[in-house]
Amino acid sequence: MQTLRFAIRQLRREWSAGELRAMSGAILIATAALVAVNAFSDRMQRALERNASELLGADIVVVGSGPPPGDWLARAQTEGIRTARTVQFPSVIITGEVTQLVGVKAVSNDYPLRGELRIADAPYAEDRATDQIPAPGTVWLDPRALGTLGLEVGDTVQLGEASFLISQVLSYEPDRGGGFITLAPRLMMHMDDLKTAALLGPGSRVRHRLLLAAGENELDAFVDWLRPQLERGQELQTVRGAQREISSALDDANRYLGLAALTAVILGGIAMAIAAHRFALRHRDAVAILRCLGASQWTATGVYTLEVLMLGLIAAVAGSGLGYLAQEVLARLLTDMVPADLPAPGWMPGLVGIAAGVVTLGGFVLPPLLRLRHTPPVRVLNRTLGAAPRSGMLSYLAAIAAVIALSGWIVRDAVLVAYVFGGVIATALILSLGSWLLIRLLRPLTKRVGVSWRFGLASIVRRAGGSTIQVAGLGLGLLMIFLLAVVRNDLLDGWRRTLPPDAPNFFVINIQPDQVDGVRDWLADRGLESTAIYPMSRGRITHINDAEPDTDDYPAGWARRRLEGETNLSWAETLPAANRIIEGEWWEADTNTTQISLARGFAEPLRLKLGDKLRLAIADQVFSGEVTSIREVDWDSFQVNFAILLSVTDIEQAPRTYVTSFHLDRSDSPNLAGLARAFPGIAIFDIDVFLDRVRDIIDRVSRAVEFVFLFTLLAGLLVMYATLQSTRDERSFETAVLKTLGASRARLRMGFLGEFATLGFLAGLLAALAATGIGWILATRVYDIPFSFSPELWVLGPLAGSIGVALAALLGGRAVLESTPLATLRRH
Amino acid sequence: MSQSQIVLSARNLSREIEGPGGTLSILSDVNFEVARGESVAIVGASGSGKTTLLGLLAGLDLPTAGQVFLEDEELTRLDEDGRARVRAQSVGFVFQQFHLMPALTALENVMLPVELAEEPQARARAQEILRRVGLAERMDHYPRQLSGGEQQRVAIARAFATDPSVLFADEPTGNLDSRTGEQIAELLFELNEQQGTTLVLVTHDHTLAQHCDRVLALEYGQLVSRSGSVETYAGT
Repeated sequence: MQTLRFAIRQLRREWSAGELRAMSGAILIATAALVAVNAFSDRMQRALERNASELLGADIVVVGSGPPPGDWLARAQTEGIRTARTVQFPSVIITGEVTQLVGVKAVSNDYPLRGELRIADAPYAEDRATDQIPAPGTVWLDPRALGTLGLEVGDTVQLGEASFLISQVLSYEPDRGGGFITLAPRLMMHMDDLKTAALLGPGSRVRHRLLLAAGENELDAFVDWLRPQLERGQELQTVRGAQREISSALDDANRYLGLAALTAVILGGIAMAIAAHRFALRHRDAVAILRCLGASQWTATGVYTLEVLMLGLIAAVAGSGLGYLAQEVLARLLTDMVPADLPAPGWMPGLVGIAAGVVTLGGFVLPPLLRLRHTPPVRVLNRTLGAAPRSGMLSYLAAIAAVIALSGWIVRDAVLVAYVFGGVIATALILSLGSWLLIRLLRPLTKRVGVSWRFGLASIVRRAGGSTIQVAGLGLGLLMIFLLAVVRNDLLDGWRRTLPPDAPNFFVINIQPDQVDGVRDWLADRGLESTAIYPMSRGRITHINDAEPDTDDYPAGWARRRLEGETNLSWAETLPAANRIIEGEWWEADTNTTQISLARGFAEPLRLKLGDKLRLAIADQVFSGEVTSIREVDWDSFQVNFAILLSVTDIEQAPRTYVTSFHLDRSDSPNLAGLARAFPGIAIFDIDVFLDRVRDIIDRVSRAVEFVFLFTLLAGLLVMYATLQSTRDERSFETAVLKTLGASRARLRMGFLGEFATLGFLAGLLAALAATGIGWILATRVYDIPFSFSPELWVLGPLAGSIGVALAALLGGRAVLESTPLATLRRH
Repeated sequence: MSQSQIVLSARNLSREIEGPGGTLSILSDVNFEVARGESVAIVGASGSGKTTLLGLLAGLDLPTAGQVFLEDEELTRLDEDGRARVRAQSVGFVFQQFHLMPALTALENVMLPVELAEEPQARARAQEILRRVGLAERMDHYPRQLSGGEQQRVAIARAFATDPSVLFADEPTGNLDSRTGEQIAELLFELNEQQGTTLVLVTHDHTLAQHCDRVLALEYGQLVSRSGSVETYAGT
């Protein structure tokens, strides 16, 4: 009790004296980073769970490329199962001279069977639930499309061959799916309008959904009846399956955020360890006095352990609060990508964060504190007795293990945690080595600069160990920011630069056979007569060498889906541009046998090779042929490309649409509205808009990750602050002696600035070096794009480092510089 | 002198340390006893071993050989925490460096040993004794807000707060100017007399040693004089 009272007193006093800033700051930052990320993902997870039954807009959905057979609907009705239908496909809306790609969803009455639609009168205005769907002749558009086109509720748009009134803003649909990110804005219309608009031809890329909802028993009976009738390409979706899919997308997102939070925790731990070492050093005298006054070993150390644990708890609670604020910022940075009505954050992430903060603190702080109990009481008579508590790496192993275990539990991905810690430790070692070398290089410099700088540089060299930790810790924080802020853009730019300037920037799909000639004329009018227009069908491989492939033989994921579902295919007489034969031979233009050419990236995962006989089902027709060539395809070229190409035989009559891509000058793009009007039903993809949307998504996600890395940077600064504090007593003594010897405050400040500007410069330089190295590895080894060197990183990095660190140090070191020499010397 | 009147005794006390040049003897075969209420000065040149002796007598350190008895407890047989318990019950300290806890006010510093000994009314007793050392107005000041002399007064108040049977003082005036030093010495002896405390004082200040009943002189770790009077010490 008395120990507790003393600990509280001690905490109050040392807190107001600013002795505990580094330690509490480190706990605050580490906890805040963890809580922010966890509370945010908790909200997402709970949104997902809450809406689980709504995810499909039904209990069960059958998805296929064609409308569901009429007898299914009839049977469902007789069994008392409610049904609704949706049809989804990409299309283009036209208003004046502007076109916009939209994801159309035509819905029948009763849609959705579970959950509800939400609509508003204006974009981003307060919305309300509705049990209606768009009336015939009207459409509901999502706010993004309205914003892009400058439209309002009450305006009309053209879609296919008809005009539609925009009657509401669609703010939420339960079965949006596809993770939280969709590329094309949504347009919702009534099913009956599909015919009027004449949007769909045979072979158009369409997803038909049959929505079913009923009590559990009725549904089970119906599913048992339905399952054997499902054909390949038709898929039964359940709520649990949909949940798993979104959940895994969510896990991926949380992983990146978790990664950023973990680096903050690691750096925070380092700052705590440094601060705790100093704390222990400074309290050796006090422990000796307490022992001398009759306190037991445990009372004497217990006081300080309690003090630090109380501090930890307070800082962790504050950090947790900060974390809750920060997760709100995250949710806002990711607007449009997260559900609009996220549930309020729960208290669990906060508690976990607080526990994590205290455990981290305990792990890093207890070893030096517990060693305090070996302080001999005779130290009160002779201060040279009682060696400084050693901070061997070994004693921190338990702490590091605890933090790793904790992180594993929080991020729930052992491999990622191993990579992060491995990566951080390796990078920290490389940075440490680099800074140690640079610091050694400084040594000869000290002889060539003025007295102020000489003193500053000498300080760095003399405290080489501490300086190395400072530079490495700070460098790590800066590195994370550089990687996200600069290298990411370099990578994106590098990719864009690989595209030739005349690379196609528009794709037109869903061209019906009777529209091909008209489209070709339209292209010729614009000097694009040589543009190829390819037929396109969707087909499924039903047999490989006369046997039905057993999908279980293939790894789950892409390969299995390719065999179960359909793939775009085409036919041609000549080898398309951006394709190169790497095995076998391209067929003669006039061949009358069915030959098949596969893209390498398609053939390999499916273990297909030259000579294999494939049977392909396209709608209700079957085509058989032999694989006679394998192609290398440049998918990045933005040319129209196909994984499966066939020689031209009677396949020409298969159900098909046509597709083309071309480069059109931006100033001509208003003409696209004319194209869309002339050929209703076609969909025009603007590659630049698509790339901008991708870039926008990447920007938002990386801003969110950057925001979390801000904590990493703060933790890096704390490492610096903690090391600065750890040399503070020595520094103030030196400063006092120098002042006594006649050094002016300005001169001392100059030396101080010199020291820290140099440290910041070194950290910035190393971070720029490491960021460039990692960028180079990513570009050449992972993404296979030319590496672009960004010189501004090498200027900005060291500059930002030196200015930032010097300012921070000046703020932190003011007390040392301002105190009078007498006061300081008396204390010593 | 009856056994119960002996409050502190050193028997065949030796202390050696291992140094780079081999074993170094700091104290060798020191024997003496201190009676209850007596004041004893241990004097000697720098390096004579007097501070080491004080540390051993107070149980702050252990001898290489020999025994220390304090209030009939054999300190040299007790473990660290056992010795701390004896100190809490029977010992007070005054140091040259004051050694006040910087985080505590003057009052809290004086309360500390009372609380550690788990004795009642810590605050009232601390206030009372601070008044007696003339610091009634300074109770809520922190050590750094006090002058050297004031800090030593707090240290003395702290030392007497638990009514210790033995008070150890290590150069109590060493860090003070001569005038303040005299005032502190006066205060120390006055309280010592009032409370009937046994005083063991390490100093090289002759004037201070003169105040004591007896002077023990150390030379190269050996007791060279056990005198009943200061004159004997002064003559050696």
